[in-house]
Amino acid sequence: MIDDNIIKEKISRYKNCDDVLKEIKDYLSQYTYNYPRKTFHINHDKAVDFYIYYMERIENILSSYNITDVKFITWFTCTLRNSYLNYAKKTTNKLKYKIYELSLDKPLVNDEGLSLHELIPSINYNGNNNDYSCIEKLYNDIESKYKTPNKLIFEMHYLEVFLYFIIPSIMDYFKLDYNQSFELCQKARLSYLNKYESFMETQDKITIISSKIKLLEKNKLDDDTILKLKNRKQKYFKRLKSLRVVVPYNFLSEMFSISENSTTKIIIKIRNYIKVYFTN
Amino acid sequence: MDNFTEQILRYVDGLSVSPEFLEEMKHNKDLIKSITELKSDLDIISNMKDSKLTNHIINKNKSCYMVIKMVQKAIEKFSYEVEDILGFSNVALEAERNIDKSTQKSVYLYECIEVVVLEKTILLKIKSIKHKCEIMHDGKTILNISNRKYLELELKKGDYIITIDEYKANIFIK
Repeated sequence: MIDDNIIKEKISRYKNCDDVLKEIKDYLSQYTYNYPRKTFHINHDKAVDFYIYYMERIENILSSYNITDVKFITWFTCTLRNSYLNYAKKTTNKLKYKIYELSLDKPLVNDEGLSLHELIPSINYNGNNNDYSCIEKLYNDIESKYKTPNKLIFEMHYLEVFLYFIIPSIMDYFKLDYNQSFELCQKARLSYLNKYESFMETQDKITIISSKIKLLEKNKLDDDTILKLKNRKQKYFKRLKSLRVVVPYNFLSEMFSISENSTTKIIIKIRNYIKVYFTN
Repeated sequence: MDNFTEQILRYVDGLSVSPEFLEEMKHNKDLIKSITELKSDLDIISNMKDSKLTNHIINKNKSCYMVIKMVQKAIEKFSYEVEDILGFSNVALEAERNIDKSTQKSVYLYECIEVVVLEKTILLKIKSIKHKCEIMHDGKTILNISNRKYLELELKKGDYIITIDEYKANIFIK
């Protein structure tokens, strides 16, 4: 992690025209690489692409930071988020006229269909300029159809998708402050944080195997080992698709004080409605 | 929303915020959304481990390199293919008026070093040199320049080591 005192010293030296830019880049490099991988579930290859994209523009970005104002990390994540969204727009503009299908339950409808958990990293999938426009539509549709406890249970179950929209409705229903309701979401998130880590680990394993295959194919040696490695790679891909980042039923039944059976019934009801909504 | 960007940063850090901002928080849903975006991102990063690949990749990225291979076609015209690449980023050029599209192949960028791979030749372009520039070819120094901003060279077979101010790049042409 980034230490606040060290980086502020370096930036103040940088603003006095010392040659410290290389040190600053080295110090921030781990954070810039890991940020999009953790929050947007990106591949290793795309993360390296974004790393190069950001480092080309870092001089202009650093000059707009005031040392006395706020912590460096909060400001830095804000700029990283904005620049990642710009980067995603640039790369997805090529795929403007491809339209993907959505599916909630199964990971893939066709080979090209996306599941809802994969939808967040692929912003602008329809070519619109508004971020999360599709999720916002879905959210409004659910809000208009169902009553308050039912729709809240469904949205809490798929928390990673609806996280940015859900908090005002939690504030209304439980009558809490903003900070308290955010802590509630945080507790729900901690229940599936282990799956997040296994997501990154399997992605790392796939990149290591693919680099090994490239090396072997260059030297044109060991056809049997290449086949074995390719089979292992497919196994890891299957494991990636089977991971679902979802809040468990136990947690929801305790939170709303309802039995587990009724929570499953509510979730399946709304899910079936959405499936029909997206296939038409 | 642009008026509140400084206030949002202060609120997430736990610093004092103006009362107008707190009143806005109660009913403005877009404001709440932008705060949760920032807060949840910081939460994930502090709670999860970093991936082990980072050191391996970023250390390699500092010593960037590119391997260009010469391919002999059936018509006996020489053409180049980029075989291995690290640190350089591929840039797609917009169509220019004077240059045909067929002759122009691809452009690679790293900091201020630019490599243009054409069908018969490879060009090296360097922009904005601050202090000094040194180019080695098979162990011998070809160029050692200061007080010059712009540079163009045609690359031949062999191993090039280019150092500009702080950056270093290896280009190997088979």
